[in-house]
Amino acid sequence: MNERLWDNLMKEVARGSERAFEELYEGMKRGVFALAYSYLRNYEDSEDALQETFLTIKRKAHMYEVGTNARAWIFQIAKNVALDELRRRKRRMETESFKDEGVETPLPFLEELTVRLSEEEREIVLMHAVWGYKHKEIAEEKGLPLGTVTWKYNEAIKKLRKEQEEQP
Amino acid sequence: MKHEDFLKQINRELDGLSLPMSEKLKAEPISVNSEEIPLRKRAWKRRFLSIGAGALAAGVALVCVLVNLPTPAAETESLACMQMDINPSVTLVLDKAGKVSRVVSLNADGDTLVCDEAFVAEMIGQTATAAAKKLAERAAKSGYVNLQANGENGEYNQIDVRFEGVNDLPQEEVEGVKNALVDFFKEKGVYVYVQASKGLLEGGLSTFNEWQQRPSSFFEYTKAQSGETGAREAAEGAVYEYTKDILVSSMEKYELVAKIDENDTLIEEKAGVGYWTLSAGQRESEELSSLCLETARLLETLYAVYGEDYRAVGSITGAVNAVAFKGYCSLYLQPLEDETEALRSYASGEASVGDFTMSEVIDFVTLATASGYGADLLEGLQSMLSFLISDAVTEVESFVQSAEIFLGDWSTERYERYSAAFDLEREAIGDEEYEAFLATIQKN
Repeated sequence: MNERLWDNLMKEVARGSERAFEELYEGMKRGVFALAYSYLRNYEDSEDALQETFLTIKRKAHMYEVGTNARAWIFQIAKNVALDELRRRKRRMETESFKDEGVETPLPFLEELTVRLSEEEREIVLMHAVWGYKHKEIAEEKGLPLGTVTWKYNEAIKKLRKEQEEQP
Repeated sequence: MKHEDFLKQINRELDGLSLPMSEKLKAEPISVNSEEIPLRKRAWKRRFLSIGAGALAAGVALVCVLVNLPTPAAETESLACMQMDINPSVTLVLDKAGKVSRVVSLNADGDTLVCDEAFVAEMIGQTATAAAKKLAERAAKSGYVNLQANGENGEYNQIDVRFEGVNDLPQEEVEGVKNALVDFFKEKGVYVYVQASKGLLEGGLSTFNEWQQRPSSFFEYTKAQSGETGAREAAEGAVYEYTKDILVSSMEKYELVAKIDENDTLIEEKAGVGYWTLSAGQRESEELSSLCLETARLLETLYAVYGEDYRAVGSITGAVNAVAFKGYCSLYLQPLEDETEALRSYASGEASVGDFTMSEVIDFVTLATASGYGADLLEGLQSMLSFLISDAVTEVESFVQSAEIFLGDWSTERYERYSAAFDLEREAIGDEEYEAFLATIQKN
C-alpha cells in the first residue's frame, strides 16, 4: 500500500471509522510488532506494545494531520511505545529476565536481526523489509544520504548472512 | 543465503503470527475531532515523463509461452514457455492446465519483477491470457510503451508473442492472447501492434525441465553460469543501461524545450512579437497558424509529460509566461548546450556510457536532474558509475547487491512516474481506427 492510501485510511480513522481502524490494524500490525520486538526481545511484551500503539492511535486520531505521512506517524508512535517500555523496565530495576530464556523463540530470524544489528541497522532493515519503505524514503525519514542508507543496509545484511552461514 | 531469502524469512515469521486485536483495543473509542479535519495542502508533483517521444517502435516484446497441455493420446507432459521481452523480460512457465506455475527473469529489469513477491503471486495460477495482460500493463506503467506513438513517422509499439510447446498448441490459444492484448490497449487508447506465433520447444521435455530448475533471478542465474565475473558484468550492464535511459530522457526534454524556443523566435521574426503575446487574429493568420498550432501542441506535451505549464497566451498572462519560459530556458537549456553532442552520442549508442570520464560522471547528475529524475536517486547511480569507471569494484557481491537494490528502487520510481501517465483517460480506439493504424504501419 502506498503512502497516499495509508493517509486516506488514517483520514477515515480520524473521522471515527472503526472499519478503517481494523483495516489499518491488519495492515500495520506486523510492522509494529516487529519494531517492538527489535527493542523488547520478548513476545508478550511486544504484543502488549502492539496493542498499546494502536490504543494510542485511537486516542490521538484527532491529532493526525491529513496529508502528512501516516506510515511515519504510526512508526514513531510504535517506536515511542517500545522505548517507554524499556524505560519502565529500567525504573523497576527488575531482576527478572525479560528475554525468553531457555524458550525456543518462534521468531528465529527476527531474533537474529535483534541480536546482531545496531539500533539504526535494525530500523533500516525493518523499514525496508517489513514496513515497505524504499531506500530513498528511509533516507528522507532519517535525514541521511541515500548512499549511507544503502551502505548501512548492505552491511546489516552481510552481518546477518555471515551469522546464518556460520551456524551449524 | 541471499538477502532476499533472509527478508522473506522474516516476513514469513511475521505472517505466521496471529496478533489479534485485544478486547480492550476493540472497546476503546476513536477520539474524533468534531471539526472538519483540516487538509494540509501538499504540493503533489506531476510526474509525467516523456515515454520516448522521438523513439521508434518502442517496447518490442517477445512472448514465448511454455504450455503444458495434455495430449489426447497419452498423458505426456506437454510443456510450453511464454517469454515476454517487453522489458522487463521474463519467461512464464505454464502447467498442464495452462496456468502460470513459474516466473523466470531474463534480464535485470525482469529481476525487479521477480523480487516483487506480490506481483509474482498475482501471476501464479493465471492463464496465459491474463498473465500476458498483467505483464503488458506493468510494462506500460513502467514507461516501456510509447503512449503517443500511433504509426505516424514510423513510430509504433509492437509486442511479439511466441508460444513454444512440446506438443503442437491450439491456434486459438495463441490468437486468444493476441486479441486480449490488442483489446486491452485499445481500451486504454494506446496503439499497439501484436504479433503472435507458435512453435515446438527445442529440446522438448528436457528443455522444459531446465526452465523448471533455473533460478528465477537473472543475476543468480548469471552468477551460477559465469561466476562472480559474469554477475559483475551483468550488474555493470544494467547500470550502464539505466544511465543511458536517463540520458535519452534528458535529451528528449532538451529537444522539446529547444523546439518551443526556436518556434517562438521564428514567430517573433515574422510578427514582431513572440508566441505568447500574439493576438488571436495573428495566431490564426495564414502565415503563423501552423507554427502556432505546433507550438501549442509542444507546450501541451511539456505540461502533460513534465508538469511545466507555459500554455496560457494573451496580453497579460501571455507576457508573464513569455518571461517565465525564457527564464526556464536560461536555467535548463543553456547548461546543457555544451553537452548535447555528448548526450546525443551516448543516447544513440554511438558512444558507450562506459566512456564517461570521472569529471563527466560528476556532470552526469546535473544532466540527469534536468530530465526530472530525483537527485537523491541519481546519487546511488553516480557512485556506482564512479566505482566502475575507476575500476574500484573490489567486492563484487556487494556491488551486485547494491545494483540490485538500486534497480529495485529505480523500478519503483519509474512505476510511480509512468503509471500516472498511463492511467490518464484517453478515448478508446475503435475497430476502424485500429484498422487504419494497421494500414499505416503496413501490418494489415
